Amino acid sequence: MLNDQELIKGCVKGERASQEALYSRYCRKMMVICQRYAKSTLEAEDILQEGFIKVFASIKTFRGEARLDTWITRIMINTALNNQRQKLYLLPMVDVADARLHESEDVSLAEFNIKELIAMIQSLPDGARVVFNLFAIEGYNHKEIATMLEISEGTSKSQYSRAKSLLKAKLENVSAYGKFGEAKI
Amino acid sequence: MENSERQRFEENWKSAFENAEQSPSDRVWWSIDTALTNAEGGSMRRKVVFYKRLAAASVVLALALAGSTTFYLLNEKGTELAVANNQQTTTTNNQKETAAENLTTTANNTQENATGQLNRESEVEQSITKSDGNHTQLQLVNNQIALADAEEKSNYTDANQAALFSIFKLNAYDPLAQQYATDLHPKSNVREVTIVRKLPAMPASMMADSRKKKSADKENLWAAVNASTGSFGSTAYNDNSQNFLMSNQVSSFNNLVSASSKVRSKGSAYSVGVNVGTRLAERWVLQGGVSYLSQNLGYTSNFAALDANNSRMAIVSEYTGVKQNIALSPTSPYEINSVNELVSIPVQAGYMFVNRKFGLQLNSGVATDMFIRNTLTDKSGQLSSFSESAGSDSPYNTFSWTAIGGTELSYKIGSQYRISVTPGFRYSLTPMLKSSTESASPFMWDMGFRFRYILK
Repeated sequence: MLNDQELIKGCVKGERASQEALYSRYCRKMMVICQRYAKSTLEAEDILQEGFIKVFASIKTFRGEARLDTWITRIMINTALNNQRQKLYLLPMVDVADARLHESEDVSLAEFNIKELIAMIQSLPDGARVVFNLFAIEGYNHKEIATMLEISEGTSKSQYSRAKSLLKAKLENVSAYGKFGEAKI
Repeated sequence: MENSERQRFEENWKSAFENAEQSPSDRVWWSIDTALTNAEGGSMRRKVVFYKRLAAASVVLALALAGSTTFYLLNEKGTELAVANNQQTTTTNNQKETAAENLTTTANNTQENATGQLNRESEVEQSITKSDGNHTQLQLVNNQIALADAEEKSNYTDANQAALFSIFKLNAYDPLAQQYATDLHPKSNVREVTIVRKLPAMPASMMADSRKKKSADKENLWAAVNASTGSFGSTAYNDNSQNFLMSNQVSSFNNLVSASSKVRSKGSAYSVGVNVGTRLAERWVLQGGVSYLSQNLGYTSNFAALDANNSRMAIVSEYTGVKQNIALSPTSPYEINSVNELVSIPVQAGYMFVNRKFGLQLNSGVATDMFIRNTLTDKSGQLSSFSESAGSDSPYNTFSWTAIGGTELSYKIGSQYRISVTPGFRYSLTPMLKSSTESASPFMWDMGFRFRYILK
């Protein structure tokens, strides 16, 4: 099996076999990222497709300073954000009152499979979903998110708070009904 | 407390997605594959358009170079006429004649050869000068100068010296010429001078051999593959008609019918081949190789040949003269595709005008064409194909000669490769058909592509 460097060389030369091998290696991991930012699987696949085309188009610029999967992830996130940006502009995010965090028992995610978690994230409003992904999973702080999305830091915080509140409610809801076999996300 | 809960919350989500994977549907890769293919196709289309334009530009450039070279060669022959033209505004016919007569008379007293030289000069000037009455003073001065020159020339005893002297006729109004006059002829104040300016053989930019040598200079021996396609006009035998008896109607004189095959005026051709080249001098190269050439031409015929099994074959009238034992049968007119296959061995000399990353080369030479076979195919498929190789009973000459020329516009890739477009022409010097005194397809334009591997 070819290593990343060999795949990169092949992709730089435009060899289709190398491009396909690179896609096969990373498409599943990237699909999850795209799904987290998209509203549906179909939309996620569109982002994935667009992202990989960008990867192949700009792979000549990859200098190996970061890991290849990190670099591809960044491209996917940027593609997803560009895809979402229009929606975010159409529905400008405004500060919302901090939802009160439930002081309930800590809900473990271990009892949920990945599809359920993705479905929960996808059910969030556009702005909250993007901020939640960037803050909770990608690890950006609110200042960086504000710059990336061209919103205020306060908006980022409030959107995150909203996302968190909604997710907790869903988790609790699913856990509660899940016991009776009526889990509904 | 809240802070730690938040961190735990985020960590939970982060770790949940740490190594998460989901398979996308196959349509994603298909779409990517299609998009990449389209992108490559677009790039290729742009390249094709680029090469088309490059080819057109190189043809224009070649024509311009040929034109300017011809102009220069013609112009060089007319240098004396051009020099004489410079004097036409200061002299008149009559006065020149007078001066020439005076010169001739004086010169006759000393040297006959010198006189002949001056007479010729006067005749030239007389033939090209025009009347101009506004320069009366200058004309008078010229007369005096002519007389003075004649006297001075009469002192020369050698005819060659007199001839040399005739070159230095100084113009009265030219300060530079006056300077020359003072230096060369201290006795006289004004002289006419004939300043002959030799044009450089080529524009300075093309003569700059002294410029820094680039990597292209390393190209001393190369091998190349080439392919070309083109069209030719068929002019010599548009309609070959003969009256003869068809085989199945020999019993009746009424069946003496006209069998004819008309040829289309335009044909197409393609060739593929390999060649090698070497550099003979700084800018001269020699190239040779071997190519397979296929020429395609359409006919309309109203008769067919009968083979031993009495089945009908497509045929044209070129064969009726040489194939004595061939049996013919009339048919309704049908379309024939005639393909001539040849092996061509070209030898060309080339001159490299530009020899850098981009190269521009003009090639010219001859090719020996060896006829392989002619195949006649009925386009409708109703008649069998007819094929004839070279030989004594073939209407085609085994060998023919062709002049070839063209431009090679190239681009060097790396240190070992060079790709070129090669617009060119072929002109048949000897006919391909034995029965013809001139070539059936004298002129062929083609556009080729060459990939060169530089050996050293």
